Amino acid sequence: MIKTYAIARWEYLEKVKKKSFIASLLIVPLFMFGSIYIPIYFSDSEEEISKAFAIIDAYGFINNSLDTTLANKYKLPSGKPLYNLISFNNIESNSESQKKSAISQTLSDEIEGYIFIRKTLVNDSKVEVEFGSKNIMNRTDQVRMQAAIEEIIFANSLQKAGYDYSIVKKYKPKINLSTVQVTSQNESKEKGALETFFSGYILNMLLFLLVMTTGQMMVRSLVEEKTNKLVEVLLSSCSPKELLSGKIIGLSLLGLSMVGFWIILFVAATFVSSENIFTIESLNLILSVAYLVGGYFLFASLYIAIGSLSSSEQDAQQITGYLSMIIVIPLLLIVPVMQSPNALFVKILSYIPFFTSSLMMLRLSIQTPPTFEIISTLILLFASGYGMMITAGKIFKVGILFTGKKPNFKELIRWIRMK
Amino acid sequence: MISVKNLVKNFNGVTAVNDLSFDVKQGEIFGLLGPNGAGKSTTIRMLLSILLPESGIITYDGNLFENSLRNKIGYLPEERGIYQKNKILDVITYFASLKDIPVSQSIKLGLEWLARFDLQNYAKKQVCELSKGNQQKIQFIISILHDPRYIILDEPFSGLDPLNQMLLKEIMMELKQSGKIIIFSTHQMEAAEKLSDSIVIIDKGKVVVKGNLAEVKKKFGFKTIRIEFSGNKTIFESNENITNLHLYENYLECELIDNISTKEFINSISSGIDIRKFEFVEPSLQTIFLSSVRVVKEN
Repeated sequence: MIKTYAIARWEYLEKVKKKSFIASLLIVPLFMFGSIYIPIYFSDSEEEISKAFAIIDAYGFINNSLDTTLANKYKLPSGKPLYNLISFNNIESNSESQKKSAISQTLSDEIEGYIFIRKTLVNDSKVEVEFGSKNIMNRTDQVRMQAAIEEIIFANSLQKAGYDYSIVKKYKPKINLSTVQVTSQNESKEKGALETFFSGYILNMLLFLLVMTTGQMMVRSLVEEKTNKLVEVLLSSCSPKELLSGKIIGLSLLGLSMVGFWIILFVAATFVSSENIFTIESLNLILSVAYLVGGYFLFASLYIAIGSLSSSEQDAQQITGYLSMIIVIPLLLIVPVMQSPNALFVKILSYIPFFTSSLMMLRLSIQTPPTFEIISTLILLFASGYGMMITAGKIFKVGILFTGKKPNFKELIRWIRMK
Repeated sequence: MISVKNLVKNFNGVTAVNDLSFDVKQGEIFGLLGPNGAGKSTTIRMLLSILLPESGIITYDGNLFENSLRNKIGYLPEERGIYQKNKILDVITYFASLKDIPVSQSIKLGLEWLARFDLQNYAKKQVCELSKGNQQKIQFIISILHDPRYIILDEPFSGLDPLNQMLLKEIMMELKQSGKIIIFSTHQMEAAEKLSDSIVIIDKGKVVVKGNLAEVKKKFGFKTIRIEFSGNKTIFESNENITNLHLYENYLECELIDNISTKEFINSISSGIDIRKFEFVEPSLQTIFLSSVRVVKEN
């Protein structure tokens, strides 16, 4: 026991001081928060310069009102209107040639684009509006223009029919749609689809990064000890069992420290931003952590087996590369799983130990899976983790002394069967 | 006493060690000799219980290997390398802690040994700041710091300069005098000859020569002739009366074949060369090694 402790302590202290570990402590959360907040920040950020649009108005009455409506509603930080509408109605005789010059100005970047309001002969309630721009991916401008034009034409039609739009406007309802996830009879929580996505996504990223960083460190140190035969000195001092358990304990503590640090950072960040992107119920959160631990246990054992099999770092990197793909596969399924967390294929995949933790963490963040499934997958996950550790121990015992050519599958089976 | 009896080890059908037996007594230095791939390292690994033999028994003062015995073993592997990025004293205390030596004691001992090897100023430095030879000394310190009863050194001299080889030999002799049981393997016959009380030469896993060094030499010594000469040396190459010829420019070691008298032999070579010295000698361990290994090859 004392030797196991000594090994665990050494493994932990040696790796916790490494620059790569310290770097991953900071880079990982930065990366995670970055990948979530940077897109949100940029899509929400206020525009800094005004945008010029040409307006070609076949009705003749829309262009001025549109300019004022937009100017009142959307302003730059400086207080100036965001949209600068230039009426093209007067520069050419007919609307088609007006459109042509608008296109040429758009192409030469003099203006952002144009709005062409076509007159339809059928009736007033159907209006054809053409939004032309180099970039048609920016939905915000289009939606704003559409709403403003709609309002102006609606007001105009009402006035014609003898109603006062300013009065009618008061009766126009404002709908504020909120999404509520139904989890149980008494409790239901308000939460957005995006938040749900992030809860499951963060947990999966956590598992992935945890396995990748600490597992990689473990493999590297194993390979180093193997190539310089230090492992023989270690084994002349302690039993393979003591060595393996010391390494596993050291590695797990390393993983725990990493997650602990991230959790502290996360809690601090939630306090500061007062925004909660992590919206999992407490019971589901506990279950998720159980899956996280189980998954980590399984993959850590697998990494040890791989580390003891590889005789060079290149070897090890190649195999761990394939291994990381196994962890990534569930992340590729994230969208179908979010849409139908109880689909048959999701249920079946949840019983494959390598996918269990990722998929179940995703499912838990969306809706609580049936109790039976939770219990059976947890048992399966921990049982296979334990089995993997026993197997890794056997491979470790022989593999750690094995240098030179890679063992083939038959040899591997023989090692595993060996008493 | 370390006692090895009828040790056998196979790897995928190839016999690496075949029926190996030897005893090493207290206060003895035992040389485990043999060409590359003879099975020396495999034997050493079995001594450390890193590998298990197919058959045969190893006892340590009458006891079979058990976990607690590890604290009494000191081992220096053939290939060297220690944690490069750690401080030297930290590495020493870590390995000592695996031998159940408390940190305070291992720091004290570690500093003493570093001073002995003239490395005391490096205690707080990183291992990678040391030269290869100096790293080897650290590894030697690790193998003996916990005052082990059984010391197993795989090629301890390789990579050391003559000065440090001397120092190492000196320490090995001290350890011998304090009653340790020392087994070492080497390619350097000169070192083996100076240090060993007993030897075993193995080739392809089999014992070729075994026993007390003096006795081994005596056994080989009766027939070994040393001649110093000048003149055409080719005359010896074609001579049919001798075997195990080790011919140098103006010096040779050989054995007379059975039924040939010294007189007959001298007559057969006297034309064409000038003999300066002719003597019956104990063969050097080098000669014993080469001829015994060669015999195995020829068979």
